[in-house]
Amino acid sequence: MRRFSVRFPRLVASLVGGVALSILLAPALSTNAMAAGMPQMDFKNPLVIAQIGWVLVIFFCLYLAVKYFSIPQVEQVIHNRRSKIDGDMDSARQAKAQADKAVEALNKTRSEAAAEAQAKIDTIIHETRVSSAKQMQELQARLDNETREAETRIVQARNSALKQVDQMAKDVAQSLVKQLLNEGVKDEIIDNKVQQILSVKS
Amino acid sequence: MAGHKIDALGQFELHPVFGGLGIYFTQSELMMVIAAIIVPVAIYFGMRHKAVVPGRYQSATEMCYEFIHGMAMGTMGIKGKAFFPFIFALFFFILTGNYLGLLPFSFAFTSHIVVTVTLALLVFLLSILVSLKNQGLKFFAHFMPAGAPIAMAPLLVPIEILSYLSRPISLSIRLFANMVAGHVMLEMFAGFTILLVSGLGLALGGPLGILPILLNMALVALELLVGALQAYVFAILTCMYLQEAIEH
Repeated sequence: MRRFSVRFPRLVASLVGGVALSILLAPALSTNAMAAGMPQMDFKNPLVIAQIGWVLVIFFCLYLAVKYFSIPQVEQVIHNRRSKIDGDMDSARQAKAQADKAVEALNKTRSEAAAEAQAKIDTIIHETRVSSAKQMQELQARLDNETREAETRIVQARNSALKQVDQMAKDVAQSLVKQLLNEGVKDEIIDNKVQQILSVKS
Repeated sequence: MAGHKIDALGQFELHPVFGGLGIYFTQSELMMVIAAIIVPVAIYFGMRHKAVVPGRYQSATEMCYEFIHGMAMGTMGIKGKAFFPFIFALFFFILTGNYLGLLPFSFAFTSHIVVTVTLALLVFLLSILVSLKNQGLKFFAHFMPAGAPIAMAPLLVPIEILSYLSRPISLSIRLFANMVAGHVMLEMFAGFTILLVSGLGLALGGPLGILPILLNMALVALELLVGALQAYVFAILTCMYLQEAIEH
């Protein structure tokens, strides 16, 4: 728009100048010579007829120039451009195919790695479970063993304690008798009585 | 009016360029030579950079090529590829001739019936030769339309022959008449200005003389259109005639 606004006054100025010049020169350009009829139809004029030969020769020269010079020049450029575009398109297609392959390989590798990792995780979980189960079994076995040992010891202690109960009962009985009667009793009698009582209670 | 008259046809007179040397080489032939030089030179300068990404001038040159190539191949098909340079040369020879004629002090060689008839006969003879080469004597069978009753032959065959023979006449007269009419109109309106100024004086005739000049400017624009259109019509009709010769 700005360029047009700069050019427009120039255009108008040149138009006005041209028109003014034409008007001023008009009388000078006028001529009184008149052509009689259409000069193109004056076939007796050798200059008119000579055009036949000339137009054939000149057109033939132009035809040769166009056929062997101009058209090959244009076609070569267009062909080169087409080849370049086709080549670039091929390169782009190849690059795309390579990129697709790379993406495919990447996806494959990633899925393989994921599968491998999952397998390792599964193995570790399995091993951990097996190990912990084994540890639990061992612990359970140890606890069972210790429980059994403790029970054995308890039984032994009770038996031992029960054995001491006879003696304690005899001693207590002897002591009670002695304190009640103020005299001792034979140990055999105490022993028999204690044994009788214990046997009844047990 | 000071004895001034408009001589609209004087512009078509031929004058030897080399004076009295006896060589029949007029301004018409000079313009033909200039046209024949301009076309390859313009293409050479348009394509000299051979750029893959073309500039404006190269683009315009390539567009001209693509335009004619599309027209020729679109009409004649791939079989007509051999005639593409002929169509190309013909179109640009006529177009350049038409446009050269619009330059001041120049001459439009396409405004001479002898030139247009020669070009039209060239096309006509070429199409006949191509027809005979491709179809042999079957070429003459086309003068009897297929499917028409035999009884109509005495009427149809002369009509078809006449129609066929009228091709170069219509081809040449169309171009010739258009160019002559355009240049006569340009001369007439330019003459009005001269008549007005020389008859009424600069004070009165000057302002009035502006109108024909403005009209002439519009006519030049019209002639630019007509020049291109006539070259196109000549070229496309040539393509159609050659296509008939190739295909049938």
